[in-house]
Amino acid sequence: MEKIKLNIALSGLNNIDSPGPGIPVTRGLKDSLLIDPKIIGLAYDNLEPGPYMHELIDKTYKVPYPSDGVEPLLDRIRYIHEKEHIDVLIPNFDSELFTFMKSERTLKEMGIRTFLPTLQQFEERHKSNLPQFGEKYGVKVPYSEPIGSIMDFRKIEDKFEYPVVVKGKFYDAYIAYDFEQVGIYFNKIAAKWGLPIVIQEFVKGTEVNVVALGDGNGNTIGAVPMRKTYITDKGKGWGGITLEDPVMLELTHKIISQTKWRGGMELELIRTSDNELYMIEINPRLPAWVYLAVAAGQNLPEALVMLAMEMPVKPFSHYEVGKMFIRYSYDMICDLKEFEQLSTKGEL
Amino acid sequence: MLKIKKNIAISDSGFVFDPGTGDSYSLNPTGLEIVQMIKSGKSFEEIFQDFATKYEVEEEAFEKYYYDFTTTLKQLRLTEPNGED
Repeated sequence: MEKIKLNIALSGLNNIDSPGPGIPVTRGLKDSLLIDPKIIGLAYDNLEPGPYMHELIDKTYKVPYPSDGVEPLLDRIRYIHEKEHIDVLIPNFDSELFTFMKSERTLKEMGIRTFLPTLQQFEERHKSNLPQFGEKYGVKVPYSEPIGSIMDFRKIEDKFEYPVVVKGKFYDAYIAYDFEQVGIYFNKIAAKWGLPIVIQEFVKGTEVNVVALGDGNGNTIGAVPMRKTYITDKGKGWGGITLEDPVMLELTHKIISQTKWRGGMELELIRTSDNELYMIEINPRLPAWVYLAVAAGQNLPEALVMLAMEMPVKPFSHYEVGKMFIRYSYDMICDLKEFEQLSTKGEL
Repeated sequence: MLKIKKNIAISDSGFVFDPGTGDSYSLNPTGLEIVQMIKSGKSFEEIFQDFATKYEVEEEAFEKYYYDFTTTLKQLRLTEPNGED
């Protein structure tokens, strides 16, 4: 069967020690037996490795940060679209999802397809709304409260027992053992990611994760559970292994079916010593470890693109248990000319 | 009777993989022999008889090491929760 040629724009090319999902998503697409993708990288920084990885990224354009506003970003996408005829756009950062979701209709009118969660799905799974989410869908979640200042925490301190987890609205989480540490982490995260900060009950156990894809009608297209076998000091998985865990899969199916989740997602769960599962986060996109799912037999990036193109997708029913990934770092040698081109012209 | 969980994979080299947790362990040849016997449904007495014919071992010493070993298997949750010996 002849592969379908598609121009796919995607972000998250920061394949660094805290990697974005752009490169793993690209690897999945390049492995596809159905799609022949041209990958158009959307980069925020001249030193993101992705633009220089020419065996994966065919062309890169710098884009303005979402914080610069919707219009500058859309203007830039319009320009890129004129040159590249983008078929599908996959935003891979939490921080840019809101902007792209808001612009979904405009993008569609331009002829660019996306496959993103709805605004309601995006909002209700927010860290600050997690207790309500848990109650609504019957999922165990740790108790948490959003705070806007450290004095806000003083008022609700009695509701928590130390340690607590101090979390940013998009990224970062630290375990704090007393009020002073809460203050330190509050300031550290707020300076980087803004407010609110979420204070979450600390649940002791093993962190396990699921990468999944929902079709927007309540069906789970694919889901693969994993345990991180090596965690960096930034809390990122540097190694992982796929698990046989019907309970985690059942929970994933339940959440996708009840929320009618549309798009990729990562469930972050804690399994306690009593074998209970607590959901600590839903990330509304495919995670950086998604290539493990591809290698285990579920090419979720490919399926996401097919769904965006409104092509038929058969749900995956199997994956290989015990498939491992081990991340590594690599010093890529780059030409100054290329750096110059990306820095000055914003294209490479 | 002590039972190894059905989903636990044990290779001939003594590599043990628990697909539920992703944990893996290495057994020495003696440990592997015992685990394979437990897996085939043999009781403590039967396993001791097998060992006594093959190796020079006192029952008292074997019993101590056997229960130390099976306690570790239980702690690692490699055995069925209601499996007793």
